[in-house]
Amino acid sequence: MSEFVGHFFNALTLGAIYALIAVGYTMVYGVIKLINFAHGEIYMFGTFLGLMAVAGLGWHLGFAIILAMAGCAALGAAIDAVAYRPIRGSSRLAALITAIGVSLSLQTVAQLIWGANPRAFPTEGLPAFLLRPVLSVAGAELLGKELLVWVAALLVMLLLHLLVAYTRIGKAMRACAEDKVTAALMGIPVNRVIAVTFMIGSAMAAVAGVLYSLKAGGNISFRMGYYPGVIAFAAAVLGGIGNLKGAVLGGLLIGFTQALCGGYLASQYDFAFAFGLMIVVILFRPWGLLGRPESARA
Amino acid sequence: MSGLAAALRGWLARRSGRDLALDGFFLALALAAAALPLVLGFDSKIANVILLVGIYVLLALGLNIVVGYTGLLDLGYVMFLASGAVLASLLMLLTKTEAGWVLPVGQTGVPEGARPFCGEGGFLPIMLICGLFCAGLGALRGIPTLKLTGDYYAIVTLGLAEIVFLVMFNEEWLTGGAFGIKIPKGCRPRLLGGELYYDTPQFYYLVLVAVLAGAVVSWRLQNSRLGRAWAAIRLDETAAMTCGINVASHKLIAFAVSGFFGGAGGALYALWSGTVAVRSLEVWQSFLILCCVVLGGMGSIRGVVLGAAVLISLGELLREDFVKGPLAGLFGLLGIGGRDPSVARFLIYGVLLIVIMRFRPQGLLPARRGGRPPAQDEERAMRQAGSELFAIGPGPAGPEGAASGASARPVLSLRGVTRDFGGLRAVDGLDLEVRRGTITSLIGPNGAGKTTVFNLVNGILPASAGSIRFRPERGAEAELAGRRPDLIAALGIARTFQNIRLFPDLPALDNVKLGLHRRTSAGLWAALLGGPRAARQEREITNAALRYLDFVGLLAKAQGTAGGLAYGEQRRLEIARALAGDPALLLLDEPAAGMNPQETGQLMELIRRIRDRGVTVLVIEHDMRLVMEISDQVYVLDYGEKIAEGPPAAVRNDPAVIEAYLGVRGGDLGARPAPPAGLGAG
Repeated sequence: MSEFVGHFFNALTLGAIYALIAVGYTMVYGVIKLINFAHGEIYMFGTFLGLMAVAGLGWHLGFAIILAMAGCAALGAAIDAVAYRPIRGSSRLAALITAIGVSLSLQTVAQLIWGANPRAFPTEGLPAFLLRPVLSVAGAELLGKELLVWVAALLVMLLLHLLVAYTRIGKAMRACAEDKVTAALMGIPVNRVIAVTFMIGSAMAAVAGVLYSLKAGGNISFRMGYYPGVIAFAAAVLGGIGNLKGAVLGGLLIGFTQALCGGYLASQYDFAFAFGLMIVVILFRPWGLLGRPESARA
Repeated sequence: MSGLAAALRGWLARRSGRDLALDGFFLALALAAAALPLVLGFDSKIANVILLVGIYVLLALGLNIVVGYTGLLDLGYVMFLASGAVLASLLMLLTKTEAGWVLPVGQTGVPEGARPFCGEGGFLPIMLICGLFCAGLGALRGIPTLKLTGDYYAIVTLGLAEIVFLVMFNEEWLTGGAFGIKIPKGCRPRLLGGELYYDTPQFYYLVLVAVLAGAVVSWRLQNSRLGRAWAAIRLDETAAMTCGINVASHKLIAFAVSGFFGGAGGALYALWSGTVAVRSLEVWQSFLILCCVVLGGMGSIRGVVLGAAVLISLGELLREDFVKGPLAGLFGLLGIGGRDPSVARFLIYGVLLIVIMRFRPQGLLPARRGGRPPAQDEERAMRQAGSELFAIGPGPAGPEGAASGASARPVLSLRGVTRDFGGLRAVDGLDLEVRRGTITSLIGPNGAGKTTVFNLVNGILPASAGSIRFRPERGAEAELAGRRPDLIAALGIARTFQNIRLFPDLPALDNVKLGLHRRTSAGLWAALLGGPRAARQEREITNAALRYLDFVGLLAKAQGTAGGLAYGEQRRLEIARALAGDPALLLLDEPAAGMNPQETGQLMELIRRIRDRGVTVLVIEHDMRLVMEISDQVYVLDYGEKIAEGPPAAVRNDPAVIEAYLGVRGGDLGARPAPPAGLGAG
């Protein structure tokens, strides 16, 4: 029982992280129909920025997260401006290849800046409650940092929902997702809206990166974004790409699949299960759980 | 001998100066690659880099078949390289001892007195086995992913490659895990009296020959009937199906051939590296190979060779001390001293992908699309030879022929055909008959469901209910509902599209050749092995295609791309492509749209000529002059329902028709609700 609860906690944490990353994927995909392959690298950069602020500058974790969000938002907007905007009218093949190029470049830049050896958050200097158990169920303990992941994910999602559903920029984003040309005709500055979408998605990836690395306790390296990035894309597809609630649902489902299959079947294959789930979903239900199939057109 | 000389002269005459310069450049490159190690030694650094370049050229040529020819982004190509390399090393390790066959993975040497499986057999069977294994793997992987396009295909192939990688990485009993499989010296296969080792001439020239073979195979495929079909699939899958191309089987062939290249390349890679470590076969290898293809130019063989040569030698250059030193100094200035300068190559790969896509998406040496056009004298000779493939209809209809006869059985009959889009019923219980040898028109206001009827007949859309029966003169009666578009095309139904769906990048000639696709048969083996039969068939195809172009008056435009034709010419080219399928029934969707009165007049004459040769024509048209002048029978659709049918004169005066077009008779013209929106096409 204690084992199951432990896996359950782990699954929920993992799921919350994936949901946070997947939301960024799904927002960008919704608006410009691009798999932003570099999203996982933004998550990685966010983690490093947070780590620098805490370990290098001695900042409080809260401020470090804010710095990471701001830095990633800027990075996301910059990537859009430099790499994606110039090829907006090109084929999707061209866009995807560009995205792979961005991903490869960012990984290498991170490796050049921070080296190849994995790093970890220092244990001192962090708020004390993070490492203390805050909840104990059937012998399995929930640490403060895991709770922090849940609470933060919930809070950020809620804010995002309010933003998309009730604000002017949210409305503009939804309009661009529906039809960019018409949105532009209505006077919506489409490129600015896309940039904002990148910024928001990137900031959320930064939150996910810092929180996950706190929770996992290490493995901060230039390669850390690749798997979570692809898996989060799977989560976005699973929920129905372009659909925010779907991204959350998909993130949780993939988190559970990975944690429970990894926990009970074969831990070295936890990512393989997640990839497998992604493939099955794309093959059999490409529009996802909450999405709608594109109506057949000739 | 003089024939050969003439052929050579003809070939030279067709090549531009730039072409010849490039030919010379690549010839020099090949000669240099063949000769350099003779001077520098086969164990020299240069020879080693050339080997690696060669292996990646082969791999990139394989990826190019899927990415460049069929236009699908395969991000999991590394799985073929990895599978081929692991399988090859296992096959080389397989040894026979007194106790039977053993597989000494993870051991330092071969057991005493053991006999390697491949020792005398040589390496070629191993390469072949690895290639075939990966061809099977490629086809197997292709089956579930056939329907996927674009992003989803890319991400699924990536996911599968990751799973394969994780399995290889974790199953140490098979792959040696992180340590890899070492191929001990005694286990290496022999070829022409020497062991295949990275520094032996035998291995060196084996790789060069393999690269040459790969390039020749790629070239032959690209210029074959198969390659043309791949191009059609890349440019417009729906139009390709309408030409009678079986998209699924053609894609599977591409996947298998691509897998073969990957597997054979993997076998060479195993020999080159000596130790196959799964760690070095991660997914970034896919990206590297993709980068070679993209840099050189997707679909361009010369480009792919150049791309691989540039990128691989660049990567190796960055490992050299004379580059590493200054680079490390630069890193020191940037405050990142101590980092491994050779990783900078990944930054170069990444930035190159971005820059190429932005400034030169067609790559350094763009592919020239389409087959070689025939020279003028060749063309003339061909046109004198006559062609069995050129056929339009069964010939002129007899005096009691169908044009006048109500007695003739209908060639097409729809019964209760219905199609729903979500809550919208686009076609509602339609009954329709098209009599043999007639011109039948389908008219109605925009959004009436006319194009949907075409899509149902030619199988692009499945009908929600009803039956569609086709009775060609030749062949048995067939139910069309539920059949694939390419099979329906094969039965003898061809069509054009309202919004013209040609293959714009291909020459007009190749567009028509694609229309002939289903009536010809040259496949993979013909493309690979050639032979006089395949060559004769290709000549026949060219000949017939020229005649179809002549029939619609476009002979002079054969060599230009379809996208470069004027609007009216594009419409006629699409008709030529449809006719090339030798249909019994031709569906024309608004052929006169956007034409001026003079062009429309020529079009009417063309449609009549087609009908007079015995092809039944069903036409959707808004131009009432055309409809009234050429139709034998007119059907009027509104809101998916048939509201009138009969000869043109009767339909013109039908009150229901007038109401549908002009609003309530004698009443308020604005009273009629707007036609249903969102249907896309009428």
